[in-house]
Amino acid sequence: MHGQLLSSGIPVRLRIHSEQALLLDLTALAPQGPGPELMQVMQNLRLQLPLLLGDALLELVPSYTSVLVIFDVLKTDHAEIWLKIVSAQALLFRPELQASTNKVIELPCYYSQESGPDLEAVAALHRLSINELIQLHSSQAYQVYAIGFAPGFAYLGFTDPRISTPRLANPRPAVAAGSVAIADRQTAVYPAASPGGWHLLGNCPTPLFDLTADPMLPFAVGDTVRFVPIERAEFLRLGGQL
Amino acid sequence: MSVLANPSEQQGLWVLQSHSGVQLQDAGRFGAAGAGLTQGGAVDLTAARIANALVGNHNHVGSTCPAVIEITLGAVAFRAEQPVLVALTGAAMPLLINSQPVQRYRTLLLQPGDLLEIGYSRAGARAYLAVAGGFPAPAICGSVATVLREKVGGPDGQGKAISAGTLLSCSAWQRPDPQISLPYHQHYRHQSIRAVPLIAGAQLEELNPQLPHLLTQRLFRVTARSDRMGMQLGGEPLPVTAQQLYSEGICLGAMQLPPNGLPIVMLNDHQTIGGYPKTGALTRGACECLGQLMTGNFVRFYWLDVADAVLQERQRLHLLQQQLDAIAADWQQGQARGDDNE
Repeated sequence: MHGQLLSSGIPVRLRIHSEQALLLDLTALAPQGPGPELMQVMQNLRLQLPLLLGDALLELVPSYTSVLVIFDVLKTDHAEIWLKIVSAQALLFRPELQASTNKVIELPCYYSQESGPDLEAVAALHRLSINELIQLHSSQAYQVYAIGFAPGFAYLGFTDPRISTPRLANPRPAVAAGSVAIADRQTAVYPAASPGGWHLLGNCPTPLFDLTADPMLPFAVGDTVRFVPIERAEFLRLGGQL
Repeated sequence: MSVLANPSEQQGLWVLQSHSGVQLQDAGRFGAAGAGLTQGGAVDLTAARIANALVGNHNHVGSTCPAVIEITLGAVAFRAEQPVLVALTGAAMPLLINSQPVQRYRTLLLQPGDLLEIGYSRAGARAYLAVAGGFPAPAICGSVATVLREKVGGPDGQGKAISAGTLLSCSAWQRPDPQISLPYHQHYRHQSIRAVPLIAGAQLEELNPQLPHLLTQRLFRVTARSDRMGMQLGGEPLPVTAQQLYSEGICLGAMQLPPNGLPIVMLNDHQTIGGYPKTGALTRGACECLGQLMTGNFVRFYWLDVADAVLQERQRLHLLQQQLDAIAADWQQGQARGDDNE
């Protein structure tokens, strides 16, 4: 078996990543880039592969257009996993089958200069009023494309092209937990205080990441997230810190 | 009846000297990469498992491993506050009890007040200290593995290294030293120029048609910029032309080739997703070897077919299980002798 296998009829490529890892490359499903249909297949894989592989499965890492599968070499191998995926293809690769699994999570966001110190600068950059910027950022649903960089950090996309914003030239040494940020056509909530290079538009008072909770995050790759603008008083009532 | 007393607040090992490379580790954290948590765990898990087996902590390949202290490069000292049964495995670090040299890869019974010193490594980057009964720590996603960057794991769960001036709680040992050891030929053996297998990645030839040849023809130097996240290799930069469009999941052992052309091999604390192209990956066993190399050591790669890599890895784990079983059998014989005396 070599670097990759082309499937017979399945729009997925298997890429060998190591003796205990293979990547399911779904780019053929999304020639225009990741979108809601691809995310539905990602959801199917995320929910079905654990059932299909049982305790041979060690880890699943979905990200944009791929799912990395890490397994126990004592219990299975690449060929066996591929056979299982081929035999379950009807279940895995039909986006309409499990549409009900796709959650929509609403995140309150207090957009302001005091909670999002780049709000005015980003509005000015795009020649928008602050209200127009808030409207563009909060009026659409985003897909969770990947989770990484730091525990609980979710890459949400894609924003309206009119608010596509480059990263900061000089990353901040400290970004407050809950900061709602934007970079290129992606947006995110910083789950914990950390350094960061994204522009900050506001703050989400709801704690998103809890190591001791199950699940640790309210969303997973493939879910849908919306930002709901809230006022200062509501932000403080929900436990927001300024 | 257990021969171990319950861990107590006041009893255990005082840490007299330590640094950020001294951390509680186990077999690692799985099932949480989807939330962005890395796997962590002992870089040389083989040495960690053997250390546990020597002190009588049962563990099996392919399953969890009781917590041990991973010691990077040495320079650590402890004082026992109670009788503690310990064993040190992995890199060749000078080991002293009350200034007297003692052996690695065997049980050592520390008495209250005894000073255990671990000097700078002569050969190998990481050693493992196990105590009978293990170190109690809060498990997060089934693991106590310390990940400094994520502020997860370790003695208090907050992701801190083991620091000087703290007391590590552990169980008291209330019998004589069972004198369990591993034969010398099974100890970790350092090679300052190490050849390790590399599994070809899917993007290899897209990156540059010269790469399959260049990667196996050159010696790569281990640089000081290596840590538990990854081994940064040095040497003449490799040609790299392609770029990956979307970030994707990263596994242990993945060899990334950033635009500067110098490969990085992902170790246990690797980020969970990344966008650098990958030339291939090292097996888990090869990662353990690589992770023992010291700054200035060299690594050379040879290609290994993935199916052969699976077989090699299974064989390696099978041999390790045999070693663990042999140590467990020594323990049973020792206990049988002990029962005869009573």
